[in-house]
Amino acid sequence: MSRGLSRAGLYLLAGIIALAAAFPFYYAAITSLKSGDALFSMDLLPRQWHWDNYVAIFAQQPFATTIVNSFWVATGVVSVSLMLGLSAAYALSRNRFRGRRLLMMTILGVSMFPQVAVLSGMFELIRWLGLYNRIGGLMLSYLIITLPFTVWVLATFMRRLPREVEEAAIMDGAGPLTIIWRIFLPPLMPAMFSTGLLAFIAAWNEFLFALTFTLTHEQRTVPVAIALLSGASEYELPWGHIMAASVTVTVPAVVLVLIFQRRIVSGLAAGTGT
Amino acid sequence: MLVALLAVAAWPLARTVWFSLTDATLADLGAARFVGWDNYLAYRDGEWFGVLTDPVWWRSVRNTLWFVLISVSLETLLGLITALVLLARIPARPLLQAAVLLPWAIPTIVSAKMWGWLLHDQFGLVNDILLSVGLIARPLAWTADPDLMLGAVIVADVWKTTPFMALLLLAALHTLPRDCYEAARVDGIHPVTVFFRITLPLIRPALIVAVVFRALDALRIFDLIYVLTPNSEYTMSMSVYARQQLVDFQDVGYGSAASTLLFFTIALCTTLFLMLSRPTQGGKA
Amino acid sequence: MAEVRLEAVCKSFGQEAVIRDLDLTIADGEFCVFLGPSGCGKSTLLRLIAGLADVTSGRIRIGGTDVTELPPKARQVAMVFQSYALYPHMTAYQNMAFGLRLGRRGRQEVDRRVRETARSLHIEHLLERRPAELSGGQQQRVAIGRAVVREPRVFLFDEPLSNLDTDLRTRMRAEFGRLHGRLRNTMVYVTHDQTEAMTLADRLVLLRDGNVAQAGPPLALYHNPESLFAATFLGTPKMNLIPATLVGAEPDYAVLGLPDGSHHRAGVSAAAARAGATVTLGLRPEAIRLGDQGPNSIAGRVSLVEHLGDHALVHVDWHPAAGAILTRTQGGVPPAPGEQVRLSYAPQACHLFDQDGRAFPRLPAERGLPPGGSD
Ligand SMILES: Nc1ncnc2c1ncn2[C@@H]1O[C@H](COP(=O)(O)OP(=O)(O)O)[C@@H](O)[C@H]1O
Ligand SMILES: [Mg+2]
Repeated sequence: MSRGLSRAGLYLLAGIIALAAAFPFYYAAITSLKSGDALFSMDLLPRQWHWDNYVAIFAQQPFATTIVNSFWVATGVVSVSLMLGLSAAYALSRNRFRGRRLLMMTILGVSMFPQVAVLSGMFELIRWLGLYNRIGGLMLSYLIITLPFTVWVLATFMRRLPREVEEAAIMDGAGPLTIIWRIFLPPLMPAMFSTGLLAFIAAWNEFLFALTFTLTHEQRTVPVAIALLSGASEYELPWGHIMAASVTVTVPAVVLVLIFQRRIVSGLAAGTGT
Repeated sequence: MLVALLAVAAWPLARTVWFSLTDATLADLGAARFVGWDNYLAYRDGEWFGVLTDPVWWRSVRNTLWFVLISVSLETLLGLITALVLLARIPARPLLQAAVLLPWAIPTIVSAKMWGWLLHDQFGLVNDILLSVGLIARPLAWTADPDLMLGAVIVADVWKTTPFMALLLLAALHTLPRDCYEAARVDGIHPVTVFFRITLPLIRPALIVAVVFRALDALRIFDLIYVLTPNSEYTMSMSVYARQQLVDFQDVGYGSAASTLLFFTIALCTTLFLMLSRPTQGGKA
Repeated sequence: MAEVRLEAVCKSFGQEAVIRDLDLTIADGEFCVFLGPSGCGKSTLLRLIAGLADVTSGRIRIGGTDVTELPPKARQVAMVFQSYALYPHMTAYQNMAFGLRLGRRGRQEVDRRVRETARSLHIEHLLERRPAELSGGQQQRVAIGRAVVREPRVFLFDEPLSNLDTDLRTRMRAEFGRLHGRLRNTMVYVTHDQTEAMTLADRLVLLRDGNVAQAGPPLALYHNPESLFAATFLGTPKMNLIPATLVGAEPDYAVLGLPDGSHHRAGVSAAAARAGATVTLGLRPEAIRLGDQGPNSIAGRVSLVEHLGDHALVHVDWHPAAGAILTRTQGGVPPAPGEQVRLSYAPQACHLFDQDGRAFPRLPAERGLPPGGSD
């Protein structure tokens, strides 16, 4: 095998990977720009740019409300998990107690919970709190998903900060809160950022809880709205609308991901302890 | 506080387990009566009842296991290839990495819809291409044909989650010591040999962790199947089955039993993995 | 007034007693060095004084006040850590100002004090840099600055030089000496490096297994070690140890039977011992001369010569039952390996230890003993 040939093979492989990864999304975007019967022709380039589908989802459906809902849920979940996660990670990484490892494993275990296993219990809890069909109920239930990995990643990062630095702060007269805010938090910002981003994406994309714990259009989040977009009859899915909605909600996530590629990659790596 | 957090996570789980021992219905959770193991397995009037006797449940278990096995294997293989390509110094690598991250960032529901569209029996691009190349004679109903549905689900899942695998493996590859490779280069060892003799053994721990993560995640698959192939028992996963009982049929007791079984299946897999991974780690150290 | 008193201090981690019933007084303004092998409890002791760890029993007083129950910040002590422990996200200036700002000092006063301290440590030009942009020695100075700026009653240093390279270590060592000369505070300095200990200490506290093995001025410890442990721990190269029997025990000298059958005289008071006892003779390498002089001499064969420039270390095999003897020669041409030589030493140069490792008192008022220690 000559060097040139293997290089060419590598580029070909890279091209295939890029194409396979990006093409479905590209095709969805193309579809969303077609209108009427053009939808059913399989052109790979749009002949004309029609924004009808986009206009339609915002005009005919409460899609803007849905996006706002998703945004609030995700933001709320991110803030609460970061705050709780930070204090929990502090407690975990600072105190060496027996069973700490076990506790860490349990936390990791919780993140592997099948969501459906807590569905009925969570449903009861949310109804009892009066949060059924409310955004607050979704936030609460999402914490079960986001908190474990937030704690895990932050604890991993926090352990990298030497204990002596913390002790130096104690000698300087800092209390626990000052230590968290002024000593631990600033170097942790990159980690906070990537876990926050992961939590945001997790909350933005969640489906099972959102489907089960909301009832009305006005309380739905993006994934549910897209899944339940329906046309005139059951057999006539409004593909153009669906693709337009898909592209609309994916673009922010994609932009975030593209900007913060490296942080996501390092956050993911830390989250699994690799 | 940690204990409180754990309690918050454990409480709904405990309630679910409790519901699985009652005849609770969604309409009136409060009126639940304790019925013991009836939701799992019961013998009454010469007939067996319960989740464990439901052929549909067993079907969902089979679907789930096949799904996990095939999709995780494919993802591992493709993820490893992608990671290796990303590791190589090629031009436009950031662009490639961005493209690879794309499926990961897309909501599962969106990817389900996208694949639903690509695999559409009449207007889908996949059928169109296959027809024009002459691979198939007439359009295939990818998301409706019992023989093809699980395949469609697997394709969509592999597309969506291979990036995750690739990123984890890439992180592991980045931690490998450079001098190993330089030594191998000096010794003139063939790159393929280097991969199987040096790279693979070195990233084995990370590979195992990644595979287990993906497998545990795949075991609870719900959204993709729910949206891509709704209401079909040919692709129904354990999660889909449980939710259908819980919400659509309003039978909280029965559905909780199915959920609990899924939970313990996953717990069992995790424990097995932990037990199997310990000795190997100890042996290598 | 900041005398540090430890009274019957004990510290255990679970079952493991790390500090055992330790009594120690560190005088006001004293530069006190804790020296001991790794794991003997030096850091633990320092952390007890700092308040970073709580005693299991016993009291700690600083400047007459019982601080045993007080948190670190109320003790008015400052600590410099082995890894410097600078706050990674703050500039040198912010690192130094952090404690003062927490103490609710005015911005102007903080600024004045930080700049003054920085000037005295020659780090003024580094104030705007973060730790990652500083070299090891510079980080070390900032860490010292962070301690100095708070004007504590007591300074605690935990192996502050162990992360520096040799050259820098020598320079920073002198810096600590100057710092103490300038501030005159009580300083407690932990190290496992005896050169640091010998050069810096007003008083050296030799620790072993969580207790004081011996304390006193460094030269006193060097010349009059009270135990085999102290004798061998101090001094490089190590003291030679030769098994011997006590043949004659007198108040002003002892007669020793060496493994080769010869009898030697040692200038120690052996009144308390009985003839026939097994003892250990200790001889510092620099106290042994080449050549046959005086009553105590040994014949042997040179096995190895290490040339170190201004001096050489000569290893001499002399008797199968005893290890090689190491001598340090200054000036002249050292013998070649394989050569037969005679070694001799003065009775006054002897250290003698009983079976339990306790030293026999050495006789005072001899002629000038060989000068101390390594460089
Ligand atoms: N937090 C702790 N928990 C348990 N054992 C400890 C702890 N800190 C120190 N030790 C033990 O105490 C002994 C003395 O430690 P240390 O004071 O750090 O020694 P050194 O003299 O090297 O500074 C060691 O055996 C160490 O294992
Ligand atoms: Mg130490």
